[in-house]
Amino acid sequence: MIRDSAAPFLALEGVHAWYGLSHILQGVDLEVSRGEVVAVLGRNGVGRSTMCKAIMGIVTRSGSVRVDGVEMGAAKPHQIAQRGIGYVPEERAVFPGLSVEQNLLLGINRSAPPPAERRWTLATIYEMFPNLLRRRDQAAEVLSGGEQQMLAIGRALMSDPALLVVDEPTEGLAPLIVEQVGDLLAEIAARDVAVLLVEQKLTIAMRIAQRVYVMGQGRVVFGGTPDALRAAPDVRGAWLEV
Amino acid sequence: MEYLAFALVNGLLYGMLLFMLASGLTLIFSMMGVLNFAHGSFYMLGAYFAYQIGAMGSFWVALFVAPVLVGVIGMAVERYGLRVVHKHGHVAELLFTFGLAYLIEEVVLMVWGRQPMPYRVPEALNFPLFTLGEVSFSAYRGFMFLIALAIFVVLIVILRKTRLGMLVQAALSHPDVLWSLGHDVPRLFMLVFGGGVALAGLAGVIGGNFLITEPGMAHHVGTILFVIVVIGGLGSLAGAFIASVGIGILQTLMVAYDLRLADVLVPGLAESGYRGPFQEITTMTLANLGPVMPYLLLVVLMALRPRGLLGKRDH
Repeated sequence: MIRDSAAPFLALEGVHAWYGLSHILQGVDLEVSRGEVVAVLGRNGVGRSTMCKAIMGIVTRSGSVRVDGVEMGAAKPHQIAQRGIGYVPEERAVFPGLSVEQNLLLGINRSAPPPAERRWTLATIYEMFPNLLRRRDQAAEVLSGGEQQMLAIGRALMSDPALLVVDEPTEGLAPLIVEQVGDLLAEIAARDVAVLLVEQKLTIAMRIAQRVYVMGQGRVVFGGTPDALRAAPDVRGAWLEV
Repeated sequence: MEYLAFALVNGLLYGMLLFMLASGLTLIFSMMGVLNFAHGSFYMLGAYFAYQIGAMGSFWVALFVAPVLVGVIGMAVERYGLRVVHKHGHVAELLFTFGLAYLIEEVVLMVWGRQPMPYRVPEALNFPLFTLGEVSFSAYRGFMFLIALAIFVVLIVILRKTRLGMLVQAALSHPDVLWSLGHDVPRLFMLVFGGGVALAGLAGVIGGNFLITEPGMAHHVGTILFVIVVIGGLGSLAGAFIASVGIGILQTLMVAYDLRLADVLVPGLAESGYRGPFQEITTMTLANLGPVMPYLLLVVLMALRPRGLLGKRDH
């Protein structure tokens, strides 16, 4: 195990991924440093969600994924998560049949610090998401879409991750709730958690991200600051705007 | 009246025994997506192991050791068999458990032969617990009932009150998400598979001497189990419980009340000496129909409600 502390927290190099027989990711390079908010944009079907799954090790992949300087190779999803990545899957995927609080508690894995040293606890999560406190004993599946999204984010924070991988958090949410999710992710980032935000909506990504990648056809076709993307209408026209 | 009470109690007992098998089967299915065709075979192994350990030592040792042995074999099957086959999809897994059922049956035939085993109810429990009218209820039935009830309670407590139970429930719906949240889901699968077949093994230990211990027992119980988990709704524990007890009671009642079908349908038909088309029906009894009933229920229910009584999965 080679560890390089100066390296970015997450680094993807030439990552390919397959979904069944489809070759979805065709050589993705991407980096996220500690404390940074990075957005990955792109149209539907370009492989954004597959990239999240490739990071977590849920899909078959090749290439290099390094977390905190350590090559993940054939590491299993739980081992990758225990390296300090909190995963917020697409479509929320809260655990039905379990209460809100039980869902949060399942966010705690073996890598979580001892309770007294945790930055994220039930109390801090409830403080950040008062709706979850009110509904702590209710079944997770009866929450609204926005509340389920807050729950999925809170759940991913419970093990004190250094990086949150958030897959399409605003999909299917009302515009007002989309803004709230954006504010919350910004607040989480302000508490020194890096965020890799995979999104289709430009506005929220451009507002909170320090760097933006644009994906097209299984590759990264643009990488730079939001301002650089604003100044590149050709990139937006070719890869983002419908 | 006593007769009805006994038939109900026996049906409930049979149903609880079936639930010990069905609970594991349905949990394994909903977590791993594998309908374990070999589940009945682990029930059979439990009975044979218990007979063998009982012959060498005592039933009480077998009661603990046999299910543990079956569970360890189950974990090995999951770890070195299913997990490897898993990459190739559910059909491959299904075929794997199908082959495993035959493999276990052949091994049992090789080691113990075709004849039923003289696996008997332990002497200490071989006395009537109480008698109502002319029918007596044996102490062993009471013992089986206690074990089945204890397993039922323990299962519910584990699922509802422990962290392990929370993990299992979470893995029922989104195993990949649970895995990516940092929990070792393959290990959880192994534990659930091992635990599930250990329960089947325990059912074999307490049921094999009461019913019969012979090479066909796996197949016989396997088909009924399949019917139960489908009727209850694949993946639903509550559904499996209702279907187990329901089928247990229904089958026992049909055998207990040996009524002629004709008397139920057209009173007086059997006595009339009717000869003509379908005359066989006049002599057919409800007990004859008992074995067909679960499959009839299955077909009717599938036509009316394809996902079963309490099933959630559509695919």
